[in-house]
Amino acid sequence: MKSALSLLIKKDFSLFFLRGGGLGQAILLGLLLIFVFSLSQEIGEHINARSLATLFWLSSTFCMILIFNNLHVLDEHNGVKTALHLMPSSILFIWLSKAICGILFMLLAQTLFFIALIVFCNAVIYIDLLNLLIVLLLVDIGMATCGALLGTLAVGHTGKESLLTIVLFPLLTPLLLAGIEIFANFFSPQSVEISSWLGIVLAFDALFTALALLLFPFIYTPEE
Amino acid sequence: MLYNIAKISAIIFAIGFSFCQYLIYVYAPLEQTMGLAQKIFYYHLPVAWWTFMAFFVNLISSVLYLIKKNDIYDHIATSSAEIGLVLASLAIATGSIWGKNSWNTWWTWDPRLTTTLILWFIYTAYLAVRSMPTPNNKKIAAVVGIIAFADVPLVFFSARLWRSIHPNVFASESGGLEPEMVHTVFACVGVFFFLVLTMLILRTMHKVQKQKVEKIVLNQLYN
Repeated sequence: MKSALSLLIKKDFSLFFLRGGGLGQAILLGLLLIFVFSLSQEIGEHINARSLATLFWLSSTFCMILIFNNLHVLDEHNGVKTALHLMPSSILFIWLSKAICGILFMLLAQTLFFIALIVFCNAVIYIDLLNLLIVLLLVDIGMATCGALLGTLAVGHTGKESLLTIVLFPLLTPLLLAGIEIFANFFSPQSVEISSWLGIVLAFDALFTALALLLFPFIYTPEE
Repeated sequence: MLYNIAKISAIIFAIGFSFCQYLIYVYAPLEQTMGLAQKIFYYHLPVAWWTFMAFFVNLISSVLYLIKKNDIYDHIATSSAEIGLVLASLAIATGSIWGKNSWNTWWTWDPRLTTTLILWFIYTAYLAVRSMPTPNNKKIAAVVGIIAFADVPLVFFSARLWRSIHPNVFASESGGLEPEMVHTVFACVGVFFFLVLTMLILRTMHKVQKQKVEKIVLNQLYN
């Protein structure tokens, strides 16, 4: 079982880096958003903490949508989907491998977004790196569980790519609000209580992991 | 039989809704600060409540479709999502008119307003998924329907943490409703049930008939 998961992760990594080029697009889109928004600043002006956090999570969400679009589309275009259905192990491993790969790709992209925020928007981070990474990971888990589950929407017909954006954005609202509020706290010298927001993030992660485990086998079916 | 139920339900709604106009404009007293504009509350609250009920029907039908794979549950789920979307649009519109008179703004990021708007977006996406010309769109739509409703409490709580100014009309002690107002609003909520029931039956029957006609046309084309 463990080897099936590691093989699937290896497959997703290989397809994404060797035949995809999707990560470059995703990172570029996020960086462009940050750069264009930074043009709205006057010289020497500082963007407020909540706007910085919103910008970060907006870039991350668009990046995440592109990543999960690509992860599913690559399977389809390379004829892997049929083989995956014949795989002698649980279909949930496909969801799990996509979620894990998605988290890793997002973390890579988000590292660059942080650097871009510091360079273009004069952002200052008032928290130690470990706490930042833990919260980032918790929010990313929520995004990845949802993205890996609904990424199948992007496969097949023209126009479905935009559909994933329309479905995911409203669904992710609680997670985005929590991410923005927590990160606004990280970008601000004044510290405020964030435990309620962490509760929302954990509840979202738990709910969507449970739903994904239940529903992925229904949604990831061979084309009839 | 279902058509007869829809007819009776429509007649009850027509009579009941006419009677509700008497309750709204004659029986219920005029609110002191908002005046006549407050009367929109008697339409806003029923459509808002029945929006959530319609989406709840969508959830149940979606679960049943995934378990039983019977097309009738897909028809009910799609119909209830369409009705819920119409009601959500009305709730947002009437809420905005209320907000302009009460808070002097067309829109504010209040939990209930935010939740309704987000539901509107999610179920619009749901209908877009459902209308895709792909073989497994029914299953995908059912999954989206389940996820959408499961997300509602989180959307509500996160929006409440964000900020809130919505009146809590039934819980409030000083700003609560007069008994006549409570009777009127509950009568309106009750009457709207018959409207939702009529629309749900007719729309579901329409979808069943449409599927039958499509099958006949396909059979004739290939035979």
